[in-house]
Amino acid sequence: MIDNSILNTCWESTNSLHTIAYYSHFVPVIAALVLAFFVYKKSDSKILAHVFMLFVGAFSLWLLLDVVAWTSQNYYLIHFVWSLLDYINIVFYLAGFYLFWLIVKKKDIATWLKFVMFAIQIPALYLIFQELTVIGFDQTWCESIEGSFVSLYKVIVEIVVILAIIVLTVVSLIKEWSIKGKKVLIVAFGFLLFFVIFAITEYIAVQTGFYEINLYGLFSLPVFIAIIVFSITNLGIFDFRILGTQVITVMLIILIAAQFLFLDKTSDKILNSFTLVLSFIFGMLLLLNVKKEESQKQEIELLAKNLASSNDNLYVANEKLKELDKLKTEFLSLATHQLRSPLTAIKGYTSMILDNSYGAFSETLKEPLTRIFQSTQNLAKVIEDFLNVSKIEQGGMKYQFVQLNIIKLLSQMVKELEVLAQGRGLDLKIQNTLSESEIVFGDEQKLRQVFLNFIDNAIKYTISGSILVRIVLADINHIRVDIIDTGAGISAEDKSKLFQKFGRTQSGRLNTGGSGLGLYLAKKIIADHKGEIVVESEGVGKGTTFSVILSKHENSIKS
Amino acid sequence: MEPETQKIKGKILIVDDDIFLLDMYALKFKQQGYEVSSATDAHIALSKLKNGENPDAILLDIAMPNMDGFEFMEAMQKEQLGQSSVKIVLSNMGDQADVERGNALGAFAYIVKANNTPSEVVEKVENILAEQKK
Repeated sequence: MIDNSILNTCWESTNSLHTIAYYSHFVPVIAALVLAFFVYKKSDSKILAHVFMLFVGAFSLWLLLDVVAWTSQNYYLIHFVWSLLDYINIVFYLAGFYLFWLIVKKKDIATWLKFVMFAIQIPALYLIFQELTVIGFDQTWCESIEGSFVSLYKVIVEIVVILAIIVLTVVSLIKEWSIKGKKVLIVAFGFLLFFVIFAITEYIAVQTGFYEINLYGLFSLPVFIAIIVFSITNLGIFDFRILGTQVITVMLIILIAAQFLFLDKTSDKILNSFTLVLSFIFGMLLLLNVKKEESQKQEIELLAKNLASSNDNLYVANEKLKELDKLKTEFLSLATHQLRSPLTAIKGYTSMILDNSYGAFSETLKEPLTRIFQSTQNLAKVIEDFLNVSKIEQGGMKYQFVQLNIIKLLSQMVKELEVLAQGRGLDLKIQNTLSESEIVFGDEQKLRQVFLNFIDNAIKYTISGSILVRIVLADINHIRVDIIDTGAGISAEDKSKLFQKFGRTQSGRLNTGGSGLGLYLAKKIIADHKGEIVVESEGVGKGTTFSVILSKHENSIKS
Repeated sequence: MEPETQKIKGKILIVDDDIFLLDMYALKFKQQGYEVSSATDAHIALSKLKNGENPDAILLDIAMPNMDGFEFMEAMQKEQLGQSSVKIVLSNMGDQADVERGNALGAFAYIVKANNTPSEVVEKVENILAEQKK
């Protein structure tokens, strides 16, 4: 039987430590539970929240039981709680390892490892039911006598967990030494600091009987909590800064409030009250600031997300438009190709009727047949222009750049078109100021198409007067071809519209012989020659000069 | 109007699936003194060549069903047919890529139908044949 008088004496001997026992136990318990509550409420990762709750719950229970052991006068109660302490000690070490794994690995542990961890705590649980955890009570030292097996088992589990945390840390650091590696190191430091200090102070207390050290060892807990909070706020482990600030604020207030347990003097208590109120106010201000900052951050993130989403939508729409444009161009190309076959038949047969391939025909049919033929010629040109535009827009226009005698080309063209000009009572002439052998670099067919368009237009829009094709040296590297007419002229505002697709000027001048694409094509073709087109006119009715500037050198085209 | 008594200037094989155009060119060439053989399908043209026809010029379309003009030229190369004939593409497909492909397969010239009247086509073929005879 227990001698209650001795037990009372024993309790008296620890009486001086009761205050520090409360302080070292209750503050961490409240802080840890507040933290666990917030984490549980707000964490997206349920498994992390559960394990954190298990760890904090087990450790808080241990602290509560331990404080009972320190302060109770009831032997049976002390004996009972003591019998549970070692088991709970093992549970929170295992839960701690599990928590560390989740933080570092960011994934759940393997099922087999869960079974191993579960199996580890079974022997300790079994010993409780067998009443082998605590085998007696030392009234001299006011402590229960633990079974030797359970003490050894607890130490082994503690050492294994500490080593496992070290191994996991080292492996993580070897795999990835970067910002993430440094974060792992900080978290590992927090866990190891707490577990090692807890285990060592426990060991020293048992070995020396100086149990007071146990109480001081618990002060490593706030450091551990602080590191967890740091992890929350800075490492993004739980991903919310407000939670960290809330925990720090609550902890600070609890710590200051706990000072009242030590303070005897009224003046000190008043001073502490001020500190508490100020801390509360500053804590709330800090919280409000963080909340505001967080809300702004979320707004910015939302805006950025919306912007990114808008960009994505724009990109998709743009791609769709490109696809549609490509389809349109392909359709145009196909349609115009298909148009060419019947056109060839109409044009061919009409020309053959006109050249008497089918015998003589009535004179009255000559004019309408000629008009049909001219219309098919125009239509053929329109189709040619459409095809060229679709080629340019598909990037499929190919050039055969060669050394080209520009004088010869233009002389031939003027000769071919002289009849047409004369038919309209116009004087078409060529004036060359350069050597007959002057060359430019260009595609003969394409340049012929460009000049044909300019000369043909000049004839069409000149009622009376003349058209002059003049070849001059623009500079040492360039030749300029001017097509000067005394015709309709162009107003200043119409000049910019001339080279647009289907552009029509105010004077009614269409930019080509019919398709509305002639000048647009001319500009594109000359641009591909690295040349330039300049249009000058003093105004409506005052004639027009189109100037085409072409390079004399191959390099300037290919560059 | 066909010049029955006129001396034959040469033999032309025209391959085109468009019967209107085929007849049109055939008539024009005949009127200009050529002996014309026509085929509405590349397979028919190949048979004619296999049966001993030996034209001075083969005018061929590109876009044709069953066997297109390019395949026809490949088949002629493979079966060594029409080796002495001048191959001239007469098509409405005038893209640079088509022209280059035709040239690579042995076409001497590439005439875009819509841009030329039958008379101009005959004139171009005549010039080519005259050039070849030099």
